[in-house]
Amino acid sequence: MDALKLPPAQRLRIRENQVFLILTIVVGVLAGLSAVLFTVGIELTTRYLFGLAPSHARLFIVPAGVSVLTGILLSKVFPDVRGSGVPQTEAAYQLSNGVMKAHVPFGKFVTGILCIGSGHSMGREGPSVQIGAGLASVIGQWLHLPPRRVRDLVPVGAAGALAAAFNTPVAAVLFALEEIIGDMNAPLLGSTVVASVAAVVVERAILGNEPLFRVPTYQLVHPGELAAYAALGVIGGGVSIVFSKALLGLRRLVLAAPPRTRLLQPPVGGVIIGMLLLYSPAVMGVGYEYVDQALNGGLVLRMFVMLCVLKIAATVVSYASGNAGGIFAPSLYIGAMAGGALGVVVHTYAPFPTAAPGAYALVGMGTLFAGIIRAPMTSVFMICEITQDYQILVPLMLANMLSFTISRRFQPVPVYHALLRQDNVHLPAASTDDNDTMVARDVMRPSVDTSNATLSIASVLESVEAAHAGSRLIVDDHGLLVGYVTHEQLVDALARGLGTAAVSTIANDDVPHVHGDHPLDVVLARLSAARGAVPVLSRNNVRHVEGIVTLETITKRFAAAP
Amino acid sequence: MATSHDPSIGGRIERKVAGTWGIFASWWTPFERISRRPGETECLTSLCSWCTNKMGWALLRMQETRSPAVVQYHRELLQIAVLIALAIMAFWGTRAVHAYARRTSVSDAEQWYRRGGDALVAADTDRAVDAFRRAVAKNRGERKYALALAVALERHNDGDTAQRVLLTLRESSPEDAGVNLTLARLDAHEGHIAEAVRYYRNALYAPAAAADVTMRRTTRLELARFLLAHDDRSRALAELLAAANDSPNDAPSARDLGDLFMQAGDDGRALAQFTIALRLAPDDHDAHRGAGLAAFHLGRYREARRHLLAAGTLENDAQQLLETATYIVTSNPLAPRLAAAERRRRVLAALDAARSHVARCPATVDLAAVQQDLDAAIADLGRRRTSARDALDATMDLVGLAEGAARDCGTGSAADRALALIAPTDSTP
Repeated sequence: MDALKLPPAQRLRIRENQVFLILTIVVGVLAGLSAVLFTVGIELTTRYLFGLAPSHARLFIVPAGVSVLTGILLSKVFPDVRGSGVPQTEAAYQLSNGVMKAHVPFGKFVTGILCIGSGHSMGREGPSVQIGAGLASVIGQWLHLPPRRVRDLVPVGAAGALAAAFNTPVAAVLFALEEIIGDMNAPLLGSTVVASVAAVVVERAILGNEPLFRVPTYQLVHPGELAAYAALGVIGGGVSIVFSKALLGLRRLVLAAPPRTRLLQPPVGGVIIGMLLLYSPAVMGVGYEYVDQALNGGLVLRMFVMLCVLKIAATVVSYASGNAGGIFAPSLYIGAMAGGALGVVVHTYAPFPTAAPGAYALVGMGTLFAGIIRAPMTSVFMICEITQDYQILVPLMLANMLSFTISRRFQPVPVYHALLRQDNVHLPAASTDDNDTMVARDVMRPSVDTSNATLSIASVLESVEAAHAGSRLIVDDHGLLVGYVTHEQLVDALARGLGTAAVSTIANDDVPHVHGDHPLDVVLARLSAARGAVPVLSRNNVRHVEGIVTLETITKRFAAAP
Repeated sequence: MATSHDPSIGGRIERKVAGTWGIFASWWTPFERISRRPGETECLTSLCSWCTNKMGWALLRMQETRSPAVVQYHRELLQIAVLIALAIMAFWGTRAVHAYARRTSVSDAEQWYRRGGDALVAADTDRAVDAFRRAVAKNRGERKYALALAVALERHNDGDTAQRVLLTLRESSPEDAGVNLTLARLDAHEGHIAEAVRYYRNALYAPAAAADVTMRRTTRLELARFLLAHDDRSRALAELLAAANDSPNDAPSARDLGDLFMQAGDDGRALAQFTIALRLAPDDHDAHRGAGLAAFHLGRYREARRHLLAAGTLENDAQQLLETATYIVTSNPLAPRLAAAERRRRVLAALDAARSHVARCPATVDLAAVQQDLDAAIADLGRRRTSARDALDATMDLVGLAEGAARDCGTGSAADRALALIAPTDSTP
């Protein structure tokens, strides 16, 4: 097809789609590079702040001291970049048409590196998501794209950044759909996939294809282990609730403090973190090396329990005090420790053969992720991708489901949404907009006034006027549609002396109509063209009338909706 | 050529391009006149004129149709080009930063590795494990760090974790000789014989081992020792035979091999190896000792005595063997080419020794009949002045019976041990 022969609007739409595709790739690449640079920046910052083997003095002074700087940055220069970044990205997508200010990705990058690199117990993936989404939004605004397209770029950038941060292309796509967009059937699936792939390609070109954690191949050793994994799901749900409640509770207290204390909050958090690091440096930063140890069975029960508790405390303090960082990595860390602890107990006391504690640590990671982040599909795929181990899929899904269910029961609002509510931002829940789901079948009236084609024009006119209708559907002896007539046509025919003629002689063949599954916006558009009443025809037989839609039927339907 | 007054970037670029092309076109025309050649130049100049006309026409048309959509189109192209250029620069920049971070990480890993090694030497396994873990975390691609960690874990009595570390390594490189060898040692320590043997074999047949003869030999000997420790002599022997093919030509290697052959029960090959060792180091006392033992087990008593005498100081068992061999060599009644009187004398001495041995037996052991027979034989031999060979041989049968009966009555003298070996068969050296 020659594009030049298409109508201008269609030509414009094709070109816009092509531009968007190119942008998707470019955004994916840039988001991926930003995530890689962010990760490398954190590593270098940690190295240079703490040295090879930090002394006790450094363990305390660095987080406390750097937090003074980050406190100034977060309160005076970049006030929008506190926290994880994921809820802020969701808010930008859902509420602001994807518009994010240019300083947001930059500020997040700088403060995230400083906060996490100086030892705060926070994750790097949440900030990566916000940086990637922010870059995408800024690019879209710079290109003066339509608002819809700018909004669409946000989950694209988020997916690219997360894919590169975790080296998990599939999980990143699922996360963008599940968490940012909130709809697994989103039409942006293709774009997020493209961005995710582009990001992972550049990330692997730089960092290689090593999995995030190198673990032995774990699998279900005995069917009895399913009970143990179910118990892990329950425990994981409980720990998720404890973490979420603690985080939200402490943050509520901090937010209730006078505004003049905002400058002091990060440094106070830094001092507390410094004290925690003096006791256990293992809770510093992202902590993936300790997760790796847990997955390879390198910790004892006491260490598992201690690190689980300390990491919860450290993350809650770091986050609640207003530092820039996420909770992805801490969720994985806490889950690994909780799972590992249970694994040691099961491995020691179970009356049947069991896998090593590392297997339980692996499942525990996913369990806590599902319970805290409340993204079960993402959790399953993420764990499989970051370990490149699919043998543990069944126990993982079982434990995830239980944890998710328990967490949702006792913490109905997901932690990200709850954090936003504390900032007086209310995100819409999924599927609250009936307009998106209502179709013609929902608003039609099944009983339809029709006239037989053999009736005279005069009798049909009389019937139309009695019903105060503007038109009438004409059907044959089998009740199948043959056409429609308007009131004006009937009056005109009568005036011409055709009152006794069959109404089929003046009926219009081309009947404006809708089908039962047409969304409401289509129904409303055709309603205006059909003079206030549009028939709903069956797709199986377009002459079979299923019902009729009028403004009155639509109004009645909405009046009846809860 | 009309020019646009569009102040945007796209408009300025267009004016630049149009101007440049105009300059080129004006220059080309006199040039082509100067360099004209008949025929060829005509086509060339026609082609260039055509291109110039078309290009100019296109530019003119662009400028004349300066609609907002076109402006936007050009701007978008430029912006996308800028973004692509930015992405390319960002890629190279990120790569450079990562390369720097990587160098730092690799250097840190090596420092932790050295610290771990120092801690291992100082027997501080806790610190060693921690240091090697950090080395692995800093540079996962370097396998020696993980291997060192496994060794440290094993010494820290955490064999399970050590094994998991090694199994994880092995998943990515199943033919790594070092990994397989360490796994073998772990399983050997835990007493998992079948697994240990499997990993030893994997280490032996790894590509690295195929190229490194010394490593292959060392591994094979280690496997042989392991098999001998678990009483699997036949498999140990097979490994020793293969190790002998790779054996370097030096006395200590030959001696070690000899010891192992002897443990495996192949005294002949053991003696051969000791002989090689003595050929290279004639004064090697351990080789003499080993040769002496091997020769003794083979019944070559004169040779055994020679080697044991050359071995210098001997421990108790070897000393007893020397005494036994000496008795056999000097007092064997069944030795060939003995004078009758000497043979008779030796037989009498043997009878006497057997009777003494039987007499030392406790009363619970009923050897009265044997004692009587011995007394009768001694008396009979004492009466006769000469003795036929047959009669002496029969007497030695009695001696053999007596020594055999008295075996459980405690260690006898050198004579008793020798007589137990040589009677009733003649084991002439």
